[in-house]
Amino acid sequence: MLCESASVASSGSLRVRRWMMITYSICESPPPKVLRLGFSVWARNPPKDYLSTYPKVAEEARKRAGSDNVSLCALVDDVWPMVALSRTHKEQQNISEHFITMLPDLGFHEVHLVSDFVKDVTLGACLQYATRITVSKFWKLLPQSKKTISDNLTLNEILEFLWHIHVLEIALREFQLTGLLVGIRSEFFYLTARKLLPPHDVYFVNTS
Amino acid sequence: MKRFDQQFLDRDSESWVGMEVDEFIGFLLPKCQEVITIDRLRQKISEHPTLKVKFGIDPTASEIHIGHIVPIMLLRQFAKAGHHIDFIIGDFTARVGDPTARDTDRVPLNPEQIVKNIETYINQIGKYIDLRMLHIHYNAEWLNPMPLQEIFAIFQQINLSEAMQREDFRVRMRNKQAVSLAEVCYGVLMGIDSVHLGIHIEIGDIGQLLNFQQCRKIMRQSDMDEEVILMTPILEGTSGDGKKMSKSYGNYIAVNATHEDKFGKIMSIPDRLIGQYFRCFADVHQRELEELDAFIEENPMEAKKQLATLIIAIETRRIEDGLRERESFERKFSQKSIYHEDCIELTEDTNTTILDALAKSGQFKNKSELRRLFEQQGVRSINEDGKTVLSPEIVVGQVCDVVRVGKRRFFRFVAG
Repeated sequence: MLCESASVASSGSLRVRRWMMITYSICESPPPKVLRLGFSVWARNPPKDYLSTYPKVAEEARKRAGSDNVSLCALVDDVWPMVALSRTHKEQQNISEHFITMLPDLGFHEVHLVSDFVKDVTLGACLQYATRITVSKFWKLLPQSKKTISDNLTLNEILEFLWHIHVLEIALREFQLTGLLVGIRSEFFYLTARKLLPPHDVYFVNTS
Repeated sequence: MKRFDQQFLDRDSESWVGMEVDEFIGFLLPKCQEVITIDRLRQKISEHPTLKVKFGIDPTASEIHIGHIVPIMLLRQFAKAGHHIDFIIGDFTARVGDPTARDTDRVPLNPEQIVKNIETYINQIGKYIDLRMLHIHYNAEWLNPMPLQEIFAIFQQINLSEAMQREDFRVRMRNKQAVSLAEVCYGVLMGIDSVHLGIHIEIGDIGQLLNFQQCRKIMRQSDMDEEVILMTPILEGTSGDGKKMSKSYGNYIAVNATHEDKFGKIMSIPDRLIGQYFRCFADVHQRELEELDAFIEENPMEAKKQLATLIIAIETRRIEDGLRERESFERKFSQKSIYHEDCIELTEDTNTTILDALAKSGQFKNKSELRRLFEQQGVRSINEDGKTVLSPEIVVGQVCDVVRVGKRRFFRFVAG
């Protein structure tokens, strides 16, 4: 069950709230009548049970925002697994199919494959964001688990980060999303990425 | 008196196609601060009658100075020897920003600035190298559309810590200056350029060493023979304080400066730089260095005049143009004869202060620059009795004949 613990802080014009499952949220402006929330998931493996939590989190976000309705869009990244794991289109398609069939049953209102809506899958598209992020900021947002093996990391850590921003930017515009649901473990990533993206709300979800 | 200016200019128009390998290397080496490696250079020249030689620039500035021309002069030697010159205009990498020698945060350029800079850059280097010898490429052609899969395979080979911990990055971060993720990727992108074009030799200045090492690594990982790197020194500025030539240090000679200005500025370099400048701008062979250095040692003033003459003449391919500047310089500064045509004529009311009159001439950035020159006693009236230091309050009517401002600017006042 979700329950609000306290309103803790405000930062400029942004309102920051703290909840239990939604750890906190950052909202740009008064909530719209219909929340359109995006949730990005990497289609490396078939979907897992924990995904069923997100429609509930979305509903809770709607209640807290006082909106009339909420629509939850899954943004299924089927491109990065093909790139990073050298999968064929066919191999990836098998896994992606599971998301397409299963997520609506779990309560997601829309399911979009990244390969369907991101057409520019190039170096140029990704690198456009790279001038606006510093090395020290990037290092801070790497999870501790990665920092401990930093000697084994490659430049693809940067590429993955940039790619993800690229996907979110297009998704926010293409599907007119008002906000994103994000696992709290990706907090620093989203706080950094947020500045490069069109205005949107972020709801950080405690997934542990 | 030995005429090195004439000798080097005559050589300038020679074709070096078919030149024997060691003879050719003998011309290359005086221009290089470092070669990685000389043995591989010799081998590549021997194996490939037509080498693919790369030189890349990022069009980050519109006005360049002769320090930027130093690697171009080395490139020109390869062109003279009939090699294939791949001239890369980094319209993609300019958006990323070369981190080399950056001690401050860099503002990435927008496409309009890049296009404008490319045009002016090409016009300027055209004074020193025949543009028809260049195969010009824009690296956005292949970098921009590069599929994610391909770049992933390349990035997979580069260690993140190594890329982020370059010495220059560490210094900047220690000084609380930003290093962008794009800059971390820069050397790899240069390497992709080399792989894409199948480059044998790359030319650049020594400041790019870290980028070049990255290039070689990328080529190696792409199962290609690593390119040989020839690095020119970074030209020291005219002020003689050891700083590199740079607009921001004010110790530069602009490529677009007038011949008179160029000549004068070359004459102002300290004697110890004459040899370096000759090596950078003339086709000097290794075996000639001893003779050249001895000449400079014995006749520094003459050597400097020949250097200045040569640098002017290289631009126009005519020794007469350099000699004309030399004659004019000697007249003004050695014989102290100022001709009417040396002066900028200003028509002014006799009651106008000389400060205001000079400020209106458009020859100075602002009044502050002029005031500084007055404070430094750099504004003098020149007449038959010698030189008189002028103060800014003196009115035009009180000034006789010619006024010299700084070292090289002369004015004549005509009562309006």
